[in-house]
Amino acid sequence: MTDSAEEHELDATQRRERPDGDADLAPARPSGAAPTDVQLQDALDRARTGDEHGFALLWRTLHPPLLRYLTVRSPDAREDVASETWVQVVRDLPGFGGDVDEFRGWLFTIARNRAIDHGRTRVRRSTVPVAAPSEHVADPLTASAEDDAVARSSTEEAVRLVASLPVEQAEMVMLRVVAGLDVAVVARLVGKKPGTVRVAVHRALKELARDPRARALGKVV
Amino acid sequence: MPGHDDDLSPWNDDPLVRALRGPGTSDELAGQDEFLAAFRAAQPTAPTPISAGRLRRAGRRLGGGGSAVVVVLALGAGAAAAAYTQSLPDPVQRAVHGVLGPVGVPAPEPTREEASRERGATPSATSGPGAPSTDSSPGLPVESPSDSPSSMPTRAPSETPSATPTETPTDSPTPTPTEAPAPVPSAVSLAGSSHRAGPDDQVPMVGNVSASDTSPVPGQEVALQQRVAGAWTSVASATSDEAGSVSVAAPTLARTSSFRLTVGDLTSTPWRVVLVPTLDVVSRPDSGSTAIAVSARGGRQGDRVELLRRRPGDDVLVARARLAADLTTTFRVASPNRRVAYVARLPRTRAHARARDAVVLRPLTPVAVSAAVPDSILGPQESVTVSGTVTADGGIVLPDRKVWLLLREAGGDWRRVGSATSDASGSVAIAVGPIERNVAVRLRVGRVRSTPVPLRLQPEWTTSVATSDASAVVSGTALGGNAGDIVLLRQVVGGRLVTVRQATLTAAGTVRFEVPVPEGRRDRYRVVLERTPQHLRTIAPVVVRPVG
Repeated sequence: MTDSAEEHELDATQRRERPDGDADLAPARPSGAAPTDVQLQDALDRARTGDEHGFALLWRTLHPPLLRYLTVRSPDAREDVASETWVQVVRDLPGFGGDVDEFRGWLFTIARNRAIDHGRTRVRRSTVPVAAPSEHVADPLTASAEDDAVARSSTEEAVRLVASLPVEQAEMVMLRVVAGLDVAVVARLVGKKPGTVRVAVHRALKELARDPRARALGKVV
Repeated sequence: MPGHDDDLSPWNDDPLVRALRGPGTSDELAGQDEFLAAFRAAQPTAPTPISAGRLRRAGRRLGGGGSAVVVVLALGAGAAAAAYTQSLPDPVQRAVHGVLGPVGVPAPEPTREEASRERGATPSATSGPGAPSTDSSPGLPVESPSDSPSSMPTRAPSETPSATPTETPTDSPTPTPTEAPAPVPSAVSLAGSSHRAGPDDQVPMVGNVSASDTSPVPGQEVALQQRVAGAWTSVASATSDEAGSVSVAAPTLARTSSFRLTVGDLTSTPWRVVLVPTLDVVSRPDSGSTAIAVSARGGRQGDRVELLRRRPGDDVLVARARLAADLTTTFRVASPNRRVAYVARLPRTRAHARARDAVVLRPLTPVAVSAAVPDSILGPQESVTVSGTVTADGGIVLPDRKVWLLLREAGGDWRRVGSATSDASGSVAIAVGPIERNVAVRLRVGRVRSTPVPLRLQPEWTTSVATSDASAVVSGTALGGNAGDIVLLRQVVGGRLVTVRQATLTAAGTVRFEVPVPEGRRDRYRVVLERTPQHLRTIAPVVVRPVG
């Protein structure tokens, strides 16, 4: 049995042993432990067969990076575009046959196309919108509300810094760093050569690393 | 989270990258229930799929503007999901259905009595609703899709009031369907596919006509009304189908508008559609400036338009203007020396949403330079002026460009012999000469070169004849000739030229021929300096007269 298969089986066992049986449907809350690719693959397989737990895990894992990407790509309508993206994913998921990496690429491809459809392809530079005023009410069961606020502000600041880059470069950074897409996938998505994407992302990260605001993020992250 | 990337691994501990990859915040994850409901609705056994519009509204959380949003938010996200599975208390379910019926929220199950009245059948103990569990996706737990305290239905589906008959009908009515009273509309709802529309878009809208018991009312003539200048005006009509639904398309918008459906005296909650103008910005460079033309479809005459110069992290307002009657306006800016981006912005008004578009101005680069001379044949002492014009794409002349004059001699390389700066009309003039041999000249600006222009040297003869009794001597000096150049002496004989002597130029450029002295007549000669790579052919006529 391969390592991944063992991990897969372990994950399945842990799922069966959950006392309430619906841990995947727990209320959305910040969590520091990101699921592994094996867990995501399992979630994808289950979601394809209509399993709500699987879809919930996929959504909780990929919706935040999707929103962050759209903050740069389609700042005026990121919620709209994200909603349309997930509606299409939900509709076409049964016919999707790829692995979780391909799913990630598929998701962000849909999002990019929907953003283009939305007719708001240009990113605003002077005022990068942040999330709407939050209705969030601190839940005693979640992680510290203070931690959540700190994480939220640092993430928003980071996204804001990326959005200060030229549009194409900012998009490549978000697709590579936040969405986690491979260079080849990003290159195909944005219509550039792989080398161009690699160089652009590295230059952007170096440039941003020199920004005192980026260095300040290290104090709160 | 992401991280297969090899070449990004050095950045894994970078504060910015860590922040970008940070876990989802509560705000970002706030809409989970709605998306799960959409997923559930998409399964084969689920009720009508949920539209993107509903998710969009749920995703926004605030400021949705539609009554559907208000209801959804008021109920809580989990309750919205519960509404789709009919697990809300009847009054609430009915209210949600009244608003969200068009987007898939079913009406509550009728009570035993209602069902009895409608179907004319005797209810049985096993005919209770139980709908929630049967409508849910198979395999899902019976619990609410969320365990959030605020969103969890507190009753199991089998405990819904309507599912527990408390009394047995005392009579056993067996009314036939023809005896059922015609349903009377008591509510009408309206929902559009979007709250935003472009200048050419027609927003599809669906409505629902229902009776007091939430049953659909078919065959009702409904009118779609648009609020214009404070008054409601009918713009479309339709008839409700068997499900009580109507589908109409709102007309294209001239401004942000509200729509509603009416049935008799009943009106639906208005559905507001915001007009989103389409901004189109193009640049038309000229020699010294660039016109930035903005057209705003969906804008209105007199609307303010702002032009901003884009800079990293900060856009600078450059100019303001008003839309003309043709919904266009033009800004004029200096043609840039480097790439500059401008953003045109149409602020939001009561008539439309805001819109923006960007255009990038690139410095004009020369694509051509011409070169011409008034005369390409020069004498030994003559100069000439080479003139030309520097142009960019589209024939736009470029002033203030440094232009070099290049010169090449036969077998040599191009070398710079002068320069000048193009004037306001893009023109330049540079003098060259005198030349000592044939050359070619061209103009160059940057990497753009003109076509070479040849300049030919035409030598000049100075001749004389000295006659004595015995002989005559024809002498000549060729200015511009070179030592060794061949010189022919040709005599006109019978109207034809016959070469009678040949010599070469001396280092001083002179030549000397001795000819017979004619008797009683004049001999006519031509002194011919033959063409060489250094100069053209030059001929001088000479006449030798008899002595005396």
